[in-house]
Formats: sequence, C-alpha cells, structure tokens
Amino acid sequence: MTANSTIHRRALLSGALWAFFARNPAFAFGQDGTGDYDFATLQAFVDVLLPADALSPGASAIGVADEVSAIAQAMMPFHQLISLGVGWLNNTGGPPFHKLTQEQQIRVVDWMSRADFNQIPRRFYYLVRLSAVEIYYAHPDAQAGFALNTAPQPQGYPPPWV
Amino acid sequence: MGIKGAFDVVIVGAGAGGAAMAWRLVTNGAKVLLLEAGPRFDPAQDYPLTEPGWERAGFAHKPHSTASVTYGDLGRYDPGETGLASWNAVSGRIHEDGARRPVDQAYGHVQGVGGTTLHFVGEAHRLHPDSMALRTRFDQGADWPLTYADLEPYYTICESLIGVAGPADQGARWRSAPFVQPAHPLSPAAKRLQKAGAQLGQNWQANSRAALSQPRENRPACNYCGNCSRGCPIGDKGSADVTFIADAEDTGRLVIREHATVEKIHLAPDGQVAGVSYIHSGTRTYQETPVLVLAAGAVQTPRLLLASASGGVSNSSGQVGRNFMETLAWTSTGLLEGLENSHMGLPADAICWDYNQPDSVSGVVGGCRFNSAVQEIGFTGPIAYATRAVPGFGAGFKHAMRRDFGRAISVGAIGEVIADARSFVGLDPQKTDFIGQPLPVIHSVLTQNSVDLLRFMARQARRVLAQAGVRDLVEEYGSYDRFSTSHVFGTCRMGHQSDTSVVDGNCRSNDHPNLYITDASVFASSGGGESPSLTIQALAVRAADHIIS
Repeated sequence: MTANSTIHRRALLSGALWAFFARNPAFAFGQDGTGDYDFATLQAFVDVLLPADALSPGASAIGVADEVSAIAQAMMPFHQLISLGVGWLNNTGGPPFHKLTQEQQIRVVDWMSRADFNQIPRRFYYLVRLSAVEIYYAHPDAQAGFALNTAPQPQGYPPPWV
Repeated sequence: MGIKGAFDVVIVGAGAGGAAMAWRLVTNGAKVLLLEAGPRFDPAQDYPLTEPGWERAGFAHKPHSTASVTYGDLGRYDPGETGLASWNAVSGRIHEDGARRPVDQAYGHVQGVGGTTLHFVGEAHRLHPDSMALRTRFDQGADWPLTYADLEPYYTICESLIGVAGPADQGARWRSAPFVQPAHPLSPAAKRLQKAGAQLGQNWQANSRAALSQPRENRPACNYCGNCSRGCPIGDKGSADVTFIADAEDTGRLVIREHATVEKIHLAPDGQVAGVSYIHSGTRTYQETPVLVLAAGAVQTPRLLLASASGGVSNSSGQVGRNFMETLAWTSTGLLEGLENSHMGLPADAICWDYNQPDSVSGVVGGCRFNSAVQEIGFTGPIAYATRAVPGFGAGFKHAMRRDFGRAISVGAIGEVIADARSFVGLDPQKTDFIGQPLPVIHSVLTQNSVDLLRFMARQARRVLAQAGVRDLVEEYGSYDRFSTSHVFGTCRMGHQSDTSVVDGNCRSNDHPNLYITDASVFASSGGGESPSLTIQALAVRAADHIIS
C-alpha cells in the first residue's frame, strides 16, 4: 500500500488544486493567473526552498524550476496557481521577489509557510514545494550525504546493517 | 472467430490463483489456455530500480495493466475523530470533509501475467485456523466449508514451489513440513520493534516471506533493496510469473494470451459453461472449453459473472458481488533518534501475531496483525521523507533531511473485516470499459466492529513505537478515512449451503459444474490480517486436484 509514487503525488496535487479553486472560484476563472509568469522569481523561490550548500547544489542549478514549469504546462490549474503565486511574490511591497536579498526572501517564504492554507501564498508554497522536493531529491547530485546508492539495484543493501 | 476443443481448461486471469491453477493442471498433463487482460512484464526492463530517479516511479504502468473501477458508497467518518485521522507532518490532515475516499484514483491491483503478485510485498501467510469458523464461534460472518487441515498440504506444496523463507515457530498454524528456506535477517527498524515488543510482552518474529533468503535454482537470494512493491528486477521475490507461470510454461502445455479481455461467459442449454468470448487485438474470439476457471480477483470476477447474463452467471444464490470485504489497515510512523539505515532490508520482515486469533481483541470479533512497515510504505528514499515526514524549507530543511533519513520506523496493522450487506461489488449503470462492458462499482462501508478494531490497531501501533523510543509521530493513515484495496475478498464466497454461497469447498460453482473460481472472491472470511496470496494459491492447487480427479 505504498503512498509514495509520482502518480500518488500528482493525485495529491490535483486534489489540493481542485479544493483550492473550488473555494476560490474567482481565481479559477478570473483574468489573473492565466498568462505567463516571472520565471526568475520561480527560480529564486525554489532556491530558497532548496539552497545550495557544501554538499549539494541549489534547486534551480539542477533544473527544478524548469521541471515545475513543465508540470504546470500540462496541468492548467497548477499553471494558474503558479501565476498567482509568483504575482503575489512580486508584489509584496518592494522589488520583485528575485531581486530581494536572501534574508528578505527567506522571511517572505517563512511567512508563506505559516499562512492560511486556503489563500494563495500558502497553497503556492505547499504545492510548489511538493513538486520541487520530488524533482530535487530524484537527482543524484542532491543525494550527497545520504546513505543511499544512486539506485537500489543492482547492489541492494546486503547485511550486516548498522 | 471460434476455437473448438484445443484446451482441457481455460483460465481467466494470470494472478496468484490463475497461475497456481495453471501450474497444477499442466504439470498433471492438461492443456491450458490462460487469458490475461493485461500485459507481460519484463522485470529487467520494466522495473525502474536500477535507474537514478527510481523513487519517482511507482510500479510500472503498461497498456491495460490497470483495471478500471468506479466507487459507490464508501461510507462517511466523523472529522472530529482525530485519533483515527490520516495525516502527515508535511501535509497535515489528508481529508477533513467526512467522505471516505479511495487511496488512489485507480483500483490498486495489477493486470498482467503474475497479477498483483508482481507488486506485492510478498508476505506468505497461512490463515489462522480459527478464522475459518467465525459463524460457528461468534455468530458473525461465514464459515469456510473446509478446515485448515484440508488446506495444509496445499500450503506446503505452494511454499515449496515459491521458496518461502520463515521461522519454525508458527503458533496455531501447525505445519507438516518446515519452511524450505531459513528466515530473513531482521532489518534495523524491525530489530527495534522486536525489542520494544518484547518489553511489552509481545512476540515479534521474522515474517514468512515469498522472497529467497538463499539462491534457488535460477533465482538469486534477496539483496534487501527494500522496494518489493515497485517490482523485483532480480527475481528473488516469489511473484507468480517467476514461480508458477515459469514452471508451467516449461511443460509446453500452457498457452498464455496477453491483452485478452474476456467479455462474456456463455452457457449451454444444460447449464454447463460452454465457453467464453474475449477481445484480443481488436478481434472477438469465442473459445469453447470443457472447464472454465475464473481467477480475475474479488472485483473483476463478480463483474464478469454479473455482466455475462441477466441476473448473472452462477448467481442463483444472489450472492455474486455480495459480502465484499476491504482491507482494514492502519500505519503509524515516527522518526527514531539513533536509528540508522531503516530503508535497508526486506519489507514487512517482522510480524506480531499475538492479536491475530479472532477473539483476541476485547469487544471485537476478528483479529489483526502488526508488522514492521517502514519499507513497505515507501520510506526507502529521500522523496518520501521530504513529502511526508520532514517539513520546512531552506538550509535547515536540507540539514534535517540528511539527519533524519534512515530514522523512520513504522508499525503497520491489518485486521479482520466482517461482511456487511452495505458492502458489495455491482455493475456501474453508466460507465463501461473499452470493450463496452459495464465497469464494476465498489461499495464498502466500515462497520462499528471495524472501527473498534481499527482503534485498537492504532493504539497498539503507537504503543510499540513509543516503547521503541519514538517521541513524535510524523505520519499516520488508515481505513477510517481512506478506502484501501490491497486485499479484497468475499464476492463469490464459498460455503456449505448453496443458497448463501457461490462455490463449494472445492471452489466449484454451485450452479455450473464445470465452472470454478480460484481467487480471493471465494474467501468466506478475510482472516485477521493475513496476506491472502498463499491461501489463494493453496485453494487453487486444491481445486486443480479436484478438476483432475
């Protein structure tokens, strides 16, 4: 009964999007959120979620923002949410999100992570994070520091185990 | 197109029951046609466990490898009952609106040569003998028309062919022969649960597993990658394709037709089954048969019977599709400081049978079992941790991921379901499959007995984890708000009386003497959490002997 596959997570993504737009129909059918979005801000956002460190690269360096965009291309409600979320990030009162300092970006994302789940900032944070971590940790470069083979087979993990 | 007389037996479905039936028949000289709606899987090609990014893939999907179903009444739950809610540390509550939902969008079984054994974890369980007489003992559910003693020789035959590994002590499940392979070593998480269980007076032991602990013939020993349910690319897991099917094909007397979707069972004027029609590569074929065996599972078998004639085939009792029993399941997971490498080892390698006897839980009819579940539920890679167990973002999140990976420890539980009139499989009045046949619609509602047993299962799972040293849980989920189809039973149940059952103790139809059913639909009771594949196979081999005789 595994709950751990892309299919399951896509179902979770669809369900969360459906629930959000059902509660907020004006967003679903309004003018906002249907056009292009500022990709630099999406890149900056995923790099705040998954920054580079001594062991592994940042998210955008291994294509996370590109793949999130590709998923959104194929899933219109997700595209709408990203457009709305990126628009919100770029209108927090100062310069666009990707031009904020790293400290400012972290403060914004921290606020988003604790905001009302039924509003755009938190839903955007939750669903983009869900996709971003899946894409990121599937990449071998992101797995440095884990007691993992690149793939479970063909070596497996024979005993003895610590 | 019509085909006459080429085969002694036609079997529908190449899963656990169909494969075992085919093996027994062909190794006794019969010629068998096995019709399988799904494809054949190539373990080396189709299972993704050798590739980077493996964790994003579940079990492989191929054309026709997933059956379509619809859902009717799955019951409701009280959103205020937080103690039985499904949740995790990243997403919070999974559902809160009071409507029980299926775990995924699709029915969780595999269509293909090997059936659901292709992605099963591979537990090889015998039923508890007392689980087979619920009606007599508790005036609930139904009795099996055979006993553990009747089935025991067939369990032994199947275990031998599969290469089941397990420990000698099996309690009430007495054995006429030892397991053919020694038990697997306990993984890091399982050892912690065994120790915690012992401190609580519980007996956690090595599970009996359809996975090789030693090389055997042309199959290697398990190398403990922990991902059985994504498909085993090396062949140590005893799925039906590398055991029963492989041996049966070696005889030259088995023909397997993949992508063959049976649309109808045809009856002769004398009440016998005359043949089946099926669609293969866009062509409809009629196949005569002296004997027909249905082994398409507890959802598709009743669907085919109901769709084949007005009122259904083999349905004089009105029991086809009735008595549906779902999987009553619970899982609790925590992160345990000091535990390392919990992703390594064999899934479900430790089990506790202490509460498996049907009268072992106070106030409830039916037992349950507990097992180490960490690999089984997917905590074998970092994506699972990041999406379910480790919240947050940024440098702190990445640090927590490296610190916590390998610390997950899980207790899973599965319990008895008593058949209820509200739970059944019927025909969808509107939706059809690609050949125009009505889809099955599943109705399944939890009884108070199930909720009470589920509450016990959740309480015990938390108790063991707490004893192991887990301070905070990170995920729990169960049947209270999520409908699960891992193990489903009962929709063509066997019985002593033809007015309350569909088949007899030999799996033979009460209405049509040349029709047999050998899948979990014949189970008269679900058992107290035992995984059903070995019992399906034992029943199928026994039924094959009846056909041969």
